[in-house]
Amino acid sequence: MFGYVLPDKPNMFMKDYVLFRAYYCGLCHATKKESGQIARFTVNYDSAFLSLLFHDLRREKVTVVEKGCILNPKKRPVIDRTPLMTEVARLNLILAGMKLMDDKADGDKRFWRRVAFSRQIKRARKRSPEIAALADACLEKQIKEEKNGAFLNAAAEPFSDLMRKVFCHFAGEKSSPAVEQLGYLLGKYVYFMDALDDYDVDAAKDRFNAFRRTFGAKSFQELMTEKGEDIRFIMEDIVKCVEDAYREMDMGENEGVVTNVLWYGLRWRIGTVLNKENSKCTRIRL
Amino acid sequence: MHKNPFVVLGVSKDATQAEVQSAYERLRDEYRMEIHIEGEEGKKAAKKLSELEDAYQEAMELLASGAEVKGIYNHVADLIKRRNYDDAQAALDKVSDRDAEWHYYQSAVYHGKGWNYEAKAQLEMAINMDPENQKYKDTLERMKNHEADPQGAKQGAAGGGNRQRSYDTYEDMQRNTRRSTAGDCCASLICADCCCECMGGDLIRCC
Repeated sequence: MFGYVLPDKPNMFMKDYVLFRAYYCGLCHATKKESGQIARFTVNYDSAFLSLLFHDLRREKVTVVEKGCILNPKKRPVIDRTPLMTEVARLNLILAGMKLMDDKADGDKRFWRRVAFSRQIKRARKRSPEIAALADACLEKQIKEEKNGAFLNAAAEPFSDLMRKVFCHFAGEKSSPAVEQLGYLLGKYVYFMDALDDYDVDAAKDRFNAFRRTFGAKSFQELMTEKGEDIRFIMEDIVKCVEDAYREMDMGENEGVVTNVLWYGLRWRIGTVLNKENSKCTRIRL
Repeated sequence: MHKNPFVVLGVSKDATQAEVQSAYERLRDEYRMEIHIEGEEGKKAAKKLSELEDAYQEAMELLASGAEVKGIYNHVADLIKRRNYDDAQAALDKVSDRDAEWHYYQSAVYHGKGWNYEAKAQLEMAINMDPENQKYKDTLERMKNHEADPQGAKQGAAGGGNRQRSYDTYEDMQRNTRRSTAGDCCASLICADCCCECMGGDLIRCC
């Protein structure tokens, strides 16, 4: 569920990279203040991107401070904590909790992962009851769709809808149809990417997988050789719809990072998943 | 044996209700005259008359249901225009006779919801059932190329917000990425030759 909405670092301006990292560190520091040290393990690039996007949409005033941490003792520019940042930190924990619940429903055996974060997640849910309610409703719908054996887009609908509502909630009065549409599409994108990435695991354990349900291939390899064109159409189409929605949005200072992620990052990540490449930064482009 | 009501009435399948009505009245009067003839012919006419009555009823029902289906499609198109996809889907679900046009409208509903893969599949079904229809083909072509619906054309940038983007579009970025070509190779050789000549050597003898 995490690790799909990333910047395309090789094609990123330095200023955007530093800004993105500042938001990432800011979210991590805010998580520590809000939920303690252990919860910092849940911080990821996707949530940092959400935080950056929401700050920009709401034109939130931010201050940059120099801070270090145990992983990076050298001081770096970090976005100082804002109420919005704290809220995104809670959102991140709730989403992480959702992922853990989802894994559990799929038969994940690593109970310690649920134990480790359970207290922090519970607290985050208590402090952001609206988001927790949205997440619960989504999970419930998702389980129902899986039981019904929903096809492609119908299976993605609960999670896409959750992200639409989350975007609507966080953008507040600056929300617009384009913003909601972007949330919806990113939700769908993440759901599909996750399904593609886990295809072989799901096939081996005979778990529900939207693509397996729709195309019925035995392995990811087979799926790509037989239905590769369809898969590429599906993913490419989402990116183009994202571009359409993003075109309608008024951006502030963080525009560069958002543009990089939405225009380059999504496409690059799709390429890595479809070609089963390592998504770590190993690529050199001339 | 059941006969096609339109054949019995002697009209085409696409006849209007008024045409069916007039054909029915004409035949009815004819048979009524014949009914009074003695013997075999009179019996035949009586049989034909009852057949005609049945055919008339059936034809009118068929025409009415056809009009109803057409009405549903107009209703669905209206709902799609107003972006009320749930109601449009509910209206489509009620139609039991799923022809090419039905798949076309189902595709439009999916497209509106952003379920473009399903929309494409429905459109392909419609084209399979009615390969001659240019409207379906055009729509499929547009969908494949991700072009907006000409009716719902996009408005330009409105308001004073910043819609400038600081990166090249993905397509431009791909195009601008330097690839070494034969021309690049020649240029570097000539460049290298110049450098060598400055230093007193020579890489390309002839220049």
